[in-house]
Amino acid sequence: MTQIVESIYTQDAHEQRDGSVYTTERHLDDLGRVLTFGPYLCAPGMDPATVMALRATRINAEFALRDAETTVSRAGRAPWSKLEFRDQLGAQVEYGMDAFFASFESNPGLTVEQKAAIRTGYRRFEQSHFIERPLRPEVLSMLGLLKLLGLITQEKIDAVAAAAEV
Amino acid sequence: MPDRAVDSNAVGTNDGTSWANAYTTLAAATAASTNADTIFVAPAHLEAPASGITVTCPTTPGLRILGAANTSAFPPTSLVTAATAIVGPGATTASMNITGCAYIFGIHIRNGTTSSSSNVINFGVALSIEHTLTFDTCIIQYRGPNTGKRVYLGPVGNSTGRNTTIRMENTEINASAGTVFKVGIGQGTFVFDNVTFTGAAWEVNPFEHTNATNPDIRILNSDLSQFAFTSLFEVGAFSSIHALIAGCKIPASLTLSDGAWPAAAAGSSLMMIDCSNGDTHGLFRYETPTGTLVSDSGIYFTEGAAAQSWKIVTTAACSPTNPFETPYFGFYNSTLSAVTPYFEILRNLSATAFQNDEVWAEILGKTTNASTRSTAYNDHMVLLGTPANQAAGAGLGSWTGEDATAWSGKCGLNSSITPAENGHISGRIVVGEPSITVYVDPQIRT
Repeated sequence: MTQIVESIYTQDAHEQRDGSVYTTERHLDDLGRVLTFGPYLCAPGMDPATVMALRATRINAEFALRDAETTVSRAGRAPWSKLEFRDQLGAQVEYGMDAFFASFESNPGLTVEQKAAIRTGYRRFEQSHFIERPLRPEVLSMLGLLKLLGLITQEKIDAVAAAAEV
Repeated sequence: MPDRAVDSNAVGTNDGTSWANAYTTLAAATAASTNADTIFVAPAHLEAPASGITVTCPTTPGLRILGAANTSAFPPTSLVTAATAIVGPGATTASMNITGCAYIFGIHIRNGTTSSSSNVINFGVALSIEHTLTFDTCIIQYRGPNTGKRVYLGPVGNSTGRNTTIRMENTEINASAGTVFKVGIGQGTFVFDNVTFTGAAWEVNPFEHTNATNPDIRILNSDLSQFAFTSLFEVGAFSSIHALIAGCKIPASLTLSDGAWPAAAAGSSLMMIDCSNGDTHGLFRYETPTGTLVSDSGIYFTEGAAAQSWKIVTTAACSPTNPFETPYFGFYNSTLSAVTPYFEILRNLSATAFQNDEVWAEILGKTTNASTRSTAYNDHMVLLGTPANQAAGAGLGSWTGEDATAWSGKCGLNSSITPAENGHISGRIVVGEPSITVYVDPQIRT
């Protein structure tokens, strides 16, 4: 379960006129991501450690909700790492896919809407931590788009989707 | 430009020509309407079908959809003072969609139910048209605790819809208890003016949308105090972003940004003017990928008009070729004689002078006769030059609050300029060094 594993804060050495102090928090989650908050004005009487703890609690609650939804959606199946997902696609598809994503912005054969969908889909792939099983509709949609572009066959998509169900 | 009536309780011919014969759904009324028509919605209207609702309005100038105060006359002569008519799907998985151009007054718009599978509210998300939607005196309510679902505003993608404008005025945006809620900001201009954000279920970074390209977000005169222990924008979620927050009430612990700015966000900025949780006025904040500027009333130039400095902290992304630039500000000059504009600056906790490749000033002056065109001047190190110390300033005795070890300097022109026309002399400070702190007196002196 994703959670904050370390939180620290730093403060200015000097106070503002109203007694508040600029404070910056740094939270580290168990995936190694750093979340920085600040600087914010920590008012007189406000304990920055308490604020930091409450913020971490809030972030953890958000993580927990997302994790819970993920667990439900994948029906108990362990997700694939992105590398495992690429292994499922096979080297030939990988080569074609990587070449395509590197140059699709200047591809005159794609409409603005198609480029937007590809851009967003690829960015979401980049920013995801893993590939849920069974495959999310947006993953199947992107694979379908690659099929239209001749980069993957329907048989391969079916095989990958079936493997994701096991 | 006919008027049409909408009332879910109407049992007549449902052609919209009177309250008795009103349409029973808003979508039916908009489908029958053309540009500049007005749709009046009965105060007791309750529209909650099992399926989703899609209200399709014409493009510019669009429709007026107004909440009527009563159904005693048609067209009505007065409007509600608070939203009472309700439009929103009753099914758990249905979405609420409004597209096109409309001015919507006094309507309570919500998504499905409090079920965990409640779906989204979409305002102007279709890519193929430019939407202009204004919500005045409305309630926008997200009721279902479904993670990842939210109120989406504007299309995502560089398409026709990129010129979309969505305004929320005098409106409440509510995240009901048990919901998990964000406002998803897409492409276009989004104005929240006198908006109150209520409810207990706001996620961290309530304004975000993965891959939204260059939204312009303005939050004015609004109550953001419900966003405790969070920040407003996860900047990494935007390709780029411009946001202005002004005259708002904010929670004591609010921060503007969270996360690392993406490389593509080079031109982005977040600005917050005169926002506070309490009675502290005149605070200014400005964030870009290369640095953060905050008002500092603990260290300031003693004679400064505002008794506050601009504390600039640059990020690792800051460099001479990608510097942090403060906004321009200036004063009206009506003296056509030579002046030498400059800023007082301070380096705290170090007595080493800043050099002219680290911190410099850029000044705009109207020095061309019979022209509105300004000329830009600076004291930046010349290309291929050798860095030199910036000049000494008024001295540490002229500053308040600094530590025992500090350096007082100034950035400005090395020689005078002579304005040829009355008008503003403007300037800004530029910092080209990563991870340093500079205090600037935000006043152009001559």
